[in-house]
Amino acid sequence: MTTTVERPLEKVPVAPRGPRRPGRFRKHLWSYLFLVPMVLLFGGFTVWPMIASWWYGFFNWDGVGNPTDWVGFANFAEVLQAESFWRAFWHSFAFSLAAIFIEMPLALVLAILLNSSWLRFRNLYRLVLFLPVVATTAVIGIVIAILLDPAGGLVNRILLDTGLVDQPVNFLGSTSTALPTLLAIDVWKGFGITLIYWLAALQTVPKDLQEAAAIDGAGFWRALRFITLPVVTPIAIVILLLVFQRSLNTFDLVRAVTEGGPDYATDVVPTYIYRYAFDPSLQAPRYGFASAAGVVFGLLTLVVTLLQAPFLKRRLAGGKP
Amino acid sequence: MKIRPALTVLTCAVALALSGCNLVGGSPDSGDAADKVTVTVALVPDPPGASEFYRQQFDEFETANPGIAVKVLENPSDQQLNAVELMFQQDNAPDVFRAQDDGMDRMAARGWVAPLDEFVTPEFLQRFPEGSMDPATSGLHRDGKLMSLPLVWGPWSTLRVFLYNEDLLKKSGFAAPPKTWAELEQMAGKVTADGKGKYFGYAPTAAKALGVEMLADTAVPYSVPATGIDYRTGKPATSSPGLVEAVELHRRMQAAKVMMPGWESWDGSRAFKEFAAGRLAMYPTPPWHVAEVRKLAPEIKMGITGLPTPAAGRSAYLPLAKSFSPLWSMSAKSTHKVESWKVMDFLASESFHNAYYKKFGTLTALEGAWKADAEKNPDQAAILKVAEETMRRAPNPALASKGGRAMTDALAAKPDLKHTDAAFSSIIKNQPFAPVAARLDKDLQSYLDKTSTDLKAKGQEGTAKDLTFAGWDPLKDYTPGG
Amino acid sequence: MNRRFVRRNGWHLLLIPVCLVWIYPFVWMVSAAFKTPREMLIGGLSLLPDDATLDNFQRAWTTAKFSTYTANTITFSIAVVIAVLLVASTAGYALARPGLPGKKVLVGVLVATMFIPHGYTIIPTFLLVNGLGLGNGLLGAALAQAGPALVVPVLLFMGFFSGIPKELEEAARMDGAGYLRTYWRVMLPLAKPVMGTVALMNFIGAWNAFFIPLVFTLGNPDLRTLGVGMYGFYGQDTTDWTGLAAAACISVIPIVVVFLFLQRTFVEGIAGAVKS
Repeated sequence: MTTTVERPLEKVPVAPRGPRRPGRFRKHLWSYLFLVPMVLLFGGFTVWPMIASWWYGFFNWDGVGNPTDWVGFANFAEVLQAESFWRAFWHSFAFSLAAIFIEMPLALVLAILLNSSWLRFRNLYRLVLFLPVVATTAVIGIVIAILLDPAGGLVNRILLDTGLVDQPVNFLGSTSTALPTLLAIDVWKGFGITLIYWLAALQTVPKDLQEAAAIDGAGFWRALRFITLPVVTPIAIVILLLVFQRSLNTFDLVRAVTEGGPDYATDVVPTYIYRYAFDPSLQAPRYGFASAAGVVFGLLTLVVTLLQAPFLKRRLAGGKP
Repeated sequence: MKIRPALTVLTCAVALALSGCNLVGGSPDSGDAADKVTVTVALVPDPPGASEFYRQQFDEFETANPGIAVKVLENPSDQQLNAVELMFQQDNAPDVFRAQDDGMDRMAARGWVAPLDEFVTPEFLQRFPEGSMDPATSGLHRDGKLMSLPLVWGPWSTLRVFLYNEDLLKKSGFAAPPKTWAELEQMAGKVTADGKGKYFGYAPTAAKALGVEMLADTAVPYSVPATGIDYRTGKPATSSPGLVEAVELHRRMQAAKVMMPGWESWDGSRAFKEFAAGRLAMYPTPPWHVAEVRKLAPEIKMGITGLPTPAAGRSAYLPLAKSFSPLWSMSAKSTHKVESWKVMDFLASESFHNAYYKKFGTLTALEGAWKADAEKNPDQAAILKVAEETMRRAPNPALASKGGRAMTDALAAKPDLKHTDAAFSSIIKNQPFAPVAARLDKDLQSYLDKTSTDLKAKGQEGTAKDLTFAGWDPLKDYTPGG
Repeated sequence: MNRRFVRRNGWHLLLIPVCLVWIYPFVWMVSAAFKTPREMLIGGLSLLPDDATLDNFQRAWTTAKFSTYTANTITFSIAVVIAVLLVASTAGYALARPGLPGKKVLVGVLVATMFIPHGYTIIPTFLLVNGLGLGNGLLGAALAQAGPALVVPVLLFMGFFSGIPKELEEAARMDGAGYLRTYWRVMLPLAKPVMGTVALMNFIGAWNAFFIPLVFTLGNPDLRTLGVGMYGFYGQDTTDWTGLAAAACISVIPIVVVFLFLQRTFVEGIAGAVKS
């Protein structure tokens, strides 16, 4: 049997072939049939709400009854000019950057380690590293806040006792350290999923290729560079997109641990939107404004992603190092 | 390998079939059993232990009223309003629901709150202290109609007391609590220094430095920290020296690291926990903390006194702007109004209020239910004394006129114009507050002007005049019309 | 031989402390679940409760109705997983068929919507579900949860099915299998690793979901899920910490079980897929 290189997660762009024959039409008919459930479900629960919220963005509306107060582009203009929005935007991006440049490489390193057949208790380590993912974000976030407390929290106690600092560090209450602390917690929480993605990617590297390389005398690093990485690169792009999307939507953690504070130092766009849409302390929620903010945010992230598309597409299709 | 997937599918199918009804759900009104009317009550699990308490109370109610079954719907506290709103939109509204303060106004504005006047009897009104149910000042009436029933004692919501740990103060050589802000600053500094990280002198109660507003209430009329407007003049007054000094006081203490670290992230309960653990010596607070401290540390030597005032002397008292805060409302869409009233009547009965007081230590709306016991309880007697000494009746534009209500609603819709965020920022960034306050005042003035113009254009009342009570002396009880 | 031993097992010296620190918050949460409220608030940070109690668990299970909520959450999560698996695998298979007109458009739309934040779209979703008459059960909630979660699984399935060699499909066709049977008998069994991943991710997402289950079970607190029930421990100003910790423990155990279960099939599935 010849070896076929499996690239299960690669997107293969295909051009349409030849004239349409009745047999092909019937085949396409089945395909369209198969697509109906997805179109219905996705259309109804993702596309329709999105379009509806574009519509709501044009109104000054509090979420109840029918929107009646048309304000045109006023909401959108306000969002684009609001310093608080841009601050939240950069914070959201900070989460993505942390996920891409810290979480992904670290997870890859550990995935390579946990993929080695000679390491005992691999499955146990994998389970432990994955555990934060399954915990309810709100609860585990609060537990960590308690551990990081400057007045008697465990972490500060250790730092003070070992003499690393002379004053307790106010991790979550000081505007300079709050965001980095949350970034670290977010990396900790999402690490398990990224690890699993990388493990899946690594396991698509065909064993016979690796064995062939070993027989040829290639060391660990050479095998990594010339066999593993090229195979894994297309999948890496997919993982990148997934991690990017997940980290942009970090909401539960921020809301539970700092609620965007202190002094909006950790405010991210989802908490910003939530505040205007649902915050009970607001006399009248500004749902229209929140929708506009959501639309603007979506467009901005789309633009940023598209800007990187040419660079990524090359890596995706070619798989060249 | 073949068996496992099949087993999985089978288990899933069975689980789904069994819970099939769960998926589709019954109709919202799963039918009242013959002769039995179900009244739905929507509330929140507050304070801890409330769920069991309410269920117990309603069970007793059901025994006494065999034709009525009470179904309790609990929502997470911060989602309660949204949840009830969505239920109304679903035509599935609860019959009785808990909506406090602004929340009740929001519901009323949508036409979802039923006026209760048709059910009220003179006997019912007699349960409440004399004059407290007057439509002009009760806090429960809108446009002369009774819209809500209260749970807690009127002053309970706006009273603020100052707690101090006698032992910790004594350790640093202080025999009495601070009477002025200067004393507070000095004492807090010494206690924190003596505490060496094990305990601290002072904390501003919760995140966003709530302590500032509380202390400022002794230096400026209450409306200034609450809304930014001075109700004596109807003009923005965030730059009032009293408020600015309150902020600067905290800013100095923050810079000197006197306040307990981490307060910037504290929720509403952290302060009393730290106090009860003996790690915090002094802080200003709403009175419900007292019972919580006592529960956690029954033996602690807790002192309860009035808030410290500026060294130059007191300029204002804590406000008593209305008799009660609204809590329980009846749905205008309820199909069982008579039975719902019976439930609400129960919730406003002496037996219920007595039970609530006994369980949670809260002073409830019906004074008769707890007055005698409270005077015997040293903590509560102290609270009552502070209320008597440091509260005065104050004007309330929202109750005084339609225009006043419109203006206060508009102000409430713009929380960023309030001093809180700016003050907090000054405190933690160690920047002067006065320039920021001046800017806020300017923004407030333009917002007030804009709101008046908008209201006028819509043919509604509302100007700065509605926020002006020229004859008001914050050092005396306010009487409307004088 | 000695160096190899050190090189291989030396890793444990690094991994074990990291793992201990890694799960410390968990361990702390579990220990908090056994503490009395007073000890939790006043006591120190020791892991061993001075006065261990099962009260919190009982409070969560019966008073806070966690027994009911757990059953509901199981139903909800399984419904979401089945919905996603069915819809995504069929769509992914269809999209992997070569020469399908309109494919680029569909995929483009899918990818574009990936980046739109979701939270504020709850009100139109709510209106839709009510309009469909599904407003009072978990089915509406499951669909609302599954819908936006379709993007990634569809792309995963699509990529996977595209990578399957044509010989397999042609062999099936020569054996007389039509579209449906090829899909069901041949392709789907091969997609086990992807199915495992998709199932796991969506199970976890559904299990911990808060907003959608809350909105769709407003009038029926009996149908609520664990994510919503957890918030019942947050009072207006105070929180029942030990109860919350106990509730979180109850909530975590089934997921860990599911993960262990799916983790093994997942690994075996991949190993099998590679051996072609």
